[in-house]
Amino acid sequence: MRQFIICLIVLLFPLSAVAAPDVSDFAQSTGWLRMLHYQKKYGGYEGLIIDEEFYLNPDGRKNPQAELETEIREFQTGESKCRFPARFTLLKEKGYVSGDLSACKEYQQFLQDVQPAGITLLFTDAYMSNPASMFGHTLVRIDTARKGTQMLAHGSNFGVLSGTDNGAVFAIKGLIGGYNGSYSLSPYWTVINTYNNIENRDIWEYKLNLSEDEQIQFVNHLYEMKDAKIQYFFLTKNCSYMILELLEAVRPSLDLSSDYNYYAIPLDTVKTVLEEPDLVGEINYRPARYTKIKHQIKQMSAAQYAAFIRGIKEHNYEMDELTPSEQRQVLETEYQYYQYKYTAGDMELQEYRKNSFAVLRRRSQLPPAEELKPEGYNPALSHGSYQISFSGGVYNHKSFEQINIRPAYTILTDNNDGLIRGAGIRVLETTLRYYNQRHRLVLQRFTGLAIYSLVPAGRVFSPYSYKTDFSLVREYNPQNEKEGTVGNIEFGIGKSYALTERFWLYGLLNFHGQYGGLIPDNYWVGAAPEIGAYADFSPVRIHLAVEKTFATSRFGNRLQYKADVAFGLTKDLSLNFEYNASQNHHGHNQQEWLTAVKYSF
Amino acid sequence: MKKILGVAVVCASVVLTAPAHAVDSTGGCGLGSMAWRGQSGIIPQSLAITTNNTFANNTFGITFGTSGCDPNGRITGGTGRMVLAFLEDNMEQFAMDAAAGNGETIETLAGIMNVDSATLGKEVQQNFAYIFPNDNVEALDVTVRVMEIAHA
Repeated sequence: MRQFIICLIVLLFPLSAVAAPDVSDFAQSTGWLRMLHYQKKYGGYEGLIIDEEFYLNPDGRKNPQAELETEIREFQTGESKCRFPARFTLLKEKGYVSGDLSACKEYQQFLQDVQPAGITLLFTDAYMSNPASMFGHTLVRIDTARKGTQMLAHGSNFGVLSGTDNGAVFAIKGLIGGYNGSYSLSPYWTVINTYNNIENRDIWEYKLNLSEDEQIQFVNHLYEMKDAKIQYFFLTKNCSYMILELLEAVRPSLDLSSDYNYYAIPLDTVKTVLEEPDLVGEINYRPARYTKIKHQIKQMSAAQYAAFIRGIKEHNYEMDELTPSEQRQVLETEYQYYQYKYTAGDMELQEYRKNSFAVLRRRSQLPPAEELKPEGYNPALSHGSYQISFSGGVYNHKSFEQINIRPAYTILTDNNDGLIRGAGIRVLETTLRYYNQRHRLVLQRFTGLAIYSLVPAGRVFSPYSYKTDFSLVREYNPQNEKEGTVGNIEFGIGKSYALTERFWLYGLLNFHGQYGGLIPDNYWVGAAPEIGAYADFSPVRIHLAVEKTFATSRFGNRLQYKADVAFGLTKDLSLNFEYNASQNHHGHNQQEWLTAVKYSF
Repeated sequence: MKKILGVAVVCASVVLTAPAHAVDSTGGCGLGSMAWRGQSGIIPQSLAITTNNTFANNTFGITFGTSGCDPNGRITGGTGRMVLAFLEDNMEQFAMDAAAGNGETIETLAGIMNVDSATLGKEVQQNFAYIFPNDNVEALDVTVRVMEIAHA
């Protein structure tokens, strides 16, 4: 018997020796490397997935060929193919294994629940009063063949497993890769509720043109990734990067993720997918509750608006002066307004129930009608997030040239199509200036993070506006006539009012402080009321501001004027004229004019 | 009697088809799995529901029950279980659509129950006061009444 086995091994050995070259080629192929998320590292490979069970060979995370050989062997005989249906399908297609997945009970149940009928990329847009959210978030939807609507589809979210950490700990650990990320599945109605109805973020649905085989492989691959853990980095290996890797795994001819080695802004990754020829089909917009309410209020006649305000302020829903169709619109908006208030924590449960039922009972007495849907502007068509600008100008009779580099994201006078009007956020922006007469290159400004969030307050919604600025700025000390770089912190809060839809006024009360060796006593802090105007007469956009600082030292006391007028030439290109002036306590005035060409990409 | 029978049928279908009913708030269901920002007020309520783990007390105004949701975060089970799962998470939107006589939640429910959406819309609007008799109606009662009206 033993002899027979040895004999068999000897007989079989030449066969496997013949097959080996094929395997080694395929082990290095894009299709295989991407399916297991191998990344090049130190001349070899390492899998992005950190849990051991994702690889069947003990050395599999670092050795694609050993992993391939093990899987071919185990998929042919064992049940492990049921855990990895995408890999099994790939290896079967290549002729390395045979059989099928029909006996895989759990996997078949998964398919029966999900009933896949396509893949849709989802982008959740910004929410009001949070310019940072313009970076967005992406997830995917497994479209369903179930009868009904896509509410019965499933959303798959790659998120961080953060436990109970929050605030600064969460941010820092997230940046340095202190958490693991993992996929989760939920009914699409939960995704809608979370983003549309609680966070008040619009959802954009980008249907992907995948072949039927690719769709199934995408779903299979999500299934095998369900327990996979990945070291999560907020900036790079985040939700959006992983979706690009998923797409590349099911269609190896795609090259999407290689642009995102340093940071992956979710909206940018959507743009990358959209730029791929024919990859995106139908685009659908699903407005947030807040968006719908605002749109419906905008559509109201004066009489409807009066009835609406009477309803939400006095809970008096009598409106006989309106036609049934007009009443219907008012009642539906009132109901959604109550939902908004309750979800925001501004209305008690009992009161919410009472008010919303009063409104709904009246609504049910009126005939059905189609809902008025707002139209959105596809955020993927917004200007590029990276901006470079060249400018020339005069500062106190000295001429200069200047270059400005901004990795992200937008300011008030940039084109805001697809973004939020009145929202500006600048991250890691560097401004270098060269003075012609003195032949000197100086760091004019380094902006770590600066935000303007202007949101007009009205009778229905009354949000605050605010700004923040954490930066290094170049300052001039008139006492010793020296210039130098100082740390600069400013934040303020206030309100904005829309005179028209496109012309706003705002007022902020700012806290302002500076620190540095140039400054007498090394620092000053102060209160700085600011008033300003913002106009978006597209393609011309104007931001004007006056700020008076009352500081702890005479150095800080100042009255500043700022004007920025932009002429948009295309969505990515603009010509700007800026004027900055500052009057300080010593009567020493600084004045600066500059003209800039700004290009976003 | 009809109602009691209806409740019994739905309960049976839920109990019989439900797997182990523990829903982990960090699992696939509910809010724990989502990126969460802002609006702190509703979190305690929602988490209270996910940890409470009783599926019959999901009343109007408490969004996001997860009892019908399977621990893997998937829509599963037969008609009764799916209608209940759907209404627990979407009762407020359904209340609005029912009062209006049309909308996405009605189309979805019509799909689950395999009935005509336009007819269902008309019927739930006409029977709005029956489906929602008061402002603290429970998801299970709504489920029973909707299924009764739809003859599903």
